[in-house]
Amino acid sequence: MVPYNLTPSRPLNCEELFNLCHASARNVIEHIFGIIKRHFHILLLPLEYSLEVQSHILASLAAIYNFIRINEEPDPDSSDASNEDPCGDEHPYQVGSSVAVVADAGGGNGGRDDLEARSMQDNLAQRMWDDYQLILSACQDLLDDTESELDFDQ
Amino acid sequence: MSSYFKAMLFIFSSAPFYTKYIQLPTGEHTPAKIQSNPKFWPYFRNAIGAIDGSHIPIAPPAHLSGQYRNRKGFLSQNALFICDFDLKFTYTLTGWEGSATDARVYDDAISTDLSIPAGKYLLADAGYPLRPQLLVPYHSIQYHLAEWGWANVRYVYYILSYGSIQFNPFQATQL
Repeated sequence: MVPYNLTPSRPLNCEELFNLCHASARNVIEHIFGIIKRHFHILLLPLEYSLEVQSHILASLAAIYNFIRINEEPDPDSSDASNEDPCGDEHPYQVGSSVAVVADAGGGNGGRDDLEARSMQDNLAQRMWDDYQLILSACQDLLDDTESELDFDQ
Repeated sequence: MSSYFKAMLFIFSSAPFYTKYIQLPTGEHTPAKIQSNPKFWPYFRNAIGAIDGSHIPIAPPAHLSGQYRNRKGFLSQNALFICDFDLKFTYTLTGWEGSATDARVYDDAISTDLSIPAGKYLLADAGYPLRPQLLVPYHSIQYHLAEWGWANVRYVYYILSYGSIQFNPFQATQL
């Protein structure tokens, strides 16, 4: 564990930036799990039906959930909180903490598929990183301008 | 009562109800949530949703309980879900034993009825293998927790780094 004052407040390389953006886009699935488990308590306390019935319960609840979601009146409170953009003016993508992922479930099969997937991942990460550097330098320019104006006032 | 319950259950979990409400997107339109967020656009424009497994408690017969015990220690089925960015399910695969890994369940899905449109992919977590249809995070890289949890964790870090549990709210807010 790294003490707080040593943790970076910004992603330091393209892999970190990619993982951060990826995590917040992937958040919808965690969100939907939270909703469905809170909505249908049968998911927390299993009934002693046959295994087939128990697996059908899940599939039906997913379908019923979609049915409700499509037909319900729009609820202003249900717009997800994760939508808010963490990019402040000065500290885009600021994060407070991080944990290391040690899981490596990919297995070591280095087939062509893997290479293709890896290069897609790398391209995306590099592109994000390039754009992010542009944003950072634009923010820096803005700061510099403000400072020089202040100097002028004095 | 029980037979009606089961009858309704099978109606809800099979065609036409199930297939009407749970459909994989064709990928023709980019989701609004991706398009409107500069963090996601244009990088994730080919993402059609997110995929993950969830352990749902199950009550299996005693002789099968070993298979259904998951790595967290309770009896469960490992259910695979895919949802889109509008918070709707687009695919489910249920009934796998809790001891099966997410990657194993995914392989089963892709070899049966899960088909992802060409050029599209799903966002998956680090438990999934590298595949052209899955976009996973980099392994063994600092993996940033999403932003909503940071206030608490900052406080924990504050305690750890100063070796003291004396909580001074004024100092803590200055961190």
